[in-house]
Amino acid sequence: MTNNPTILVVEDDADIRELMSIALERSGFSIILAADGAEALAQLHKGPEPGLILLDLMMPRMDGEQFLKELRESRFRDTPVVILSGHVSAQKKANELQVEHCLMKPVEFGELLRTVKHFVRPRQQRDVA
Amino acid sequence: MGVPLIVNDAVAGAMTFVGRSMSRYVKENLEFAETLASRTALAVENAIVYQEARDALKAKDEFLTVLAHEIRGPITSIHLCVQAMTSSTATASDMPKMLAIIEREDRRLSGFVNELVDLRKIQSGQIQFALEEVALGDVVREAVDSLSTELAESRSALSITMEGRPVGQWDKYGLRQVVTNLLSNAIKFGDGKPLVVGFREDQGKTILQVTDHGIGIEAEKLDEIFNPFQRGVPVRNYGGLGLGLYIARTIVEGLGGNIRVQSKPKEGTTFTVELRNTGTL
Repeated sequence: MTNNPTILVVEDDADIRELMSIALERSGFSIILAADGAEALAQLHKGPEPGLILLDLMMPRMDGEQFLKELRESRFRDTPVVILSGHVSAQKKANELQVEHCLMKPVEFGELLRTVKHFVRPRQQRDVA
Repeated sequence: MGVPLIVNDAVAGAMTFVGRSMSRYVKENLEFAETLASRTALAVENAIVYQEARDALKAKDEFLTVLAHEIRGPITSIHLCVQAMTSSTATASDMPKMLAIIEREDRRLSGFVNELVDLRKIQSGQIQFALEEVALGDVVREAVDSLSTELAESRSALSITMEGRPVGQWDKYGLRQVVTNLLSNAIKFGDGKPLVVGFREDQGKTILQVTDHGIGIEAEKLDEIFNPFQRGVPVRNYGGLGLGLYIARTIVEGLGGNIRVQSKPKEGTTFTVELRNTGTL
């Protein structure tokens, strides 16, 4: 397999999930997909460890906020998180939840890639840590 | 001496006056007490109206927030598709997939607009039905077809049971919307478990049932779910405008029928629609 950083995309909208994975894969990232917070936690424990989590807020079963709470109590607590949401108060929520960054839907392709590249943790750094 | 406090034509309480022992109340005292009580009642009435207006404004604010969020989903997909197609990100082999996504999201957006138009029509009393001979089986098939992608994604298996071939004088567009709204809720809240759409004729009436075995609705929410902007589950977990059941109930009742719900949390939900085959109007 490649040494590209892995991005965990947590998003309940199947179309957005698929488009994210196309966009990010073609830009050289490996992608893991999850449709809600519970699935994302399962994926984290299954591995590989992602270098960034792209997180929606409103999702069935376990929403983004609950997922972050569980993430922070796990050994993955230091994984960078970028919120991607269409909620009007997402930016405020992102500040409260102390994540790396917040992108508002609809997101620009270029902005998405720039943000992911900026915040993603490269593999080597994580392996050393 | 006691005088009633009448708020909105009903006794909401009483004002009691206590005088010195041995003193007697005269007619003027009673008039004074009654005036005081009616002014107090008016103040209470105003407070209620004020509270209701504030609640209505809050509900509208919340609705606009949900609406903005729900519209952003499909727009994000269309946006990403177009950008992937115009940049070199998407290849020729991605095109059918991209176009299918754009088509689906376009339909989702149109669905929201239709719900808003329906809401406006209902609230301004402009909803009209065009009665014609309609076979319920055809309507169910059309509704299922329109939700085929959502159904496939949900992983729920759908079975359709039919007794007889119910035909009635109904509004085809309205009836399709009722079935679509009930079925899309069943898909959304069905938790990937089997769904059943059943319909049968029963003594000049047609009974339609849509059943899921999903998350269910708590007993105290059951009375509210047919009201506009109400939802049985938190919006942070499940999107949607909160209008589907309200629109469904309005159409069913407009056609002279009725709709009811039975549900148990974690076991599932059944919506039952009863329609007269003759329709109304």
